[in-house]
Amino acid sequence: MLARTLNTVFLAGVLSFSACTNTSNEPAAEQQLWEEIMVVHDEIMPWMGELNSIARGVKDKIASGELTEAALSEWQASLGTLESADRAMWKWMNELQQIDKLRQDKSHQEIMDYLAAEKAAIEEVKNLMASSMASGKLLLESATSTENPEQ
Amino acid sequence: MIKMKHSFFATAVLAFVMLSCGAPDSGELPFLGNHETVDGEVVYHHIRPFRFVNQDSAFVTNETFAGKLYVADFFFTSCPTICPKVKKNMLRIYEKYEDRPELNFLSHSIDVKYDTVGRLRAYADNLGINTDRWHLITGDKDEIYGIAEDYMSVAMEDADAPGGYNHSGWIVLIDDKGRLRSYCDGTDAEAVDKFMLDIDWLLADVYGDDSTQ
Repeated sequence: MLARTLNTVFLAGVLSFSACTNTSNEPAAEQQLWEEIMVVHDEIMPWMGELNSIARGVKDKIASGELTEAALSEWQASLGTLESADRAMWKWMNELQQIDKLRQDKSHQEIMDYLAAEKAAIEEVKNLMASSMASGKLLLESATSTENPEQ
Repeated sequence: MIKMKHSFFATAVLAFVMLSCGAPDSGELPFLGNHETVDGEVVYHHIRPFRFVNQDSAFVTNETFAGKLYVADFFFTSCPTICPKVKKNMLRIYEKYEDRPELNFLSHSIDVKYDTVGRLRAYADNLGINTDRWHLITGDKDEIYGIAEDYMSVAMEDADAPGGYNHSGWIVLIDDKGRLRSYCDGTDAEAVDKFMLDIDWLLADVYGDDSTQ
């Protein structure tokens, strides 16, 4: 009888400890995911200046009237993706909810799901920025080498 | 080899930043940026003409700062990481020179879509600043990114992140004639302390008093 009671107490203790440990790990897990998102944000935010610089170069070329009709549509498409990447980044940043606010009315699982979705979203923005900048840069470089074939 | 190059570059940048942000122990605070000689006279780099709208819907132009010194930075209100650190240090500068109306502040938002005049007003209220001296501005996106390159031209030459000037936390000091005189990393409290020594020096040089030294 005593052995059974001791077993029950021990089991209850183990379960309570385990539950406490899990609960205390929850904020740390949320924080870690938040920081992973911020790493991507801080990596790509400095690209915004260059993205806009490339977009201005492409815009100037379109406005110059030097492009053939076929080339014009390619340059306009490039400008479209650059502007779309710029919009996506600002939209993401302005809609991102701060972790403290999330904790006011969301469960741990809901917060983790939200942050995982935001991490995927910022990765998508990163890819969009990288590809639009690469194609815009390529166009600008090709135009420069056509204008200055000896360079 | 790449590591060596990076190490050399980092040392060069560090040395430059220390020189730029350090108070001039002797001699004058340098004129930063490209110089050119016109008719035998050296013309220093000037901030280009600009016209933006501030948190009170008033226009802010070069004339707003004529005859004054100002500290400029680039930010956006939804910024989760670097901008709050820079704003904290900008507030330190603002509070130190609260009784020096000759020193103004100009914070450019690079988020022209979401940082509306109303949002900038709320941000200024939250900072608790006198907006006669500290302007938070918005405007045409190309103009703001273009002038960012102008202000940050010196930092851009040294920063190991091309295009990253607008989110690097740089703050710059402009003199009464629109010339770049100092800059530093606004996220680094120690660098900002040294930057304030540059402000002291420039206030004394331009206005002829040494009350801040």
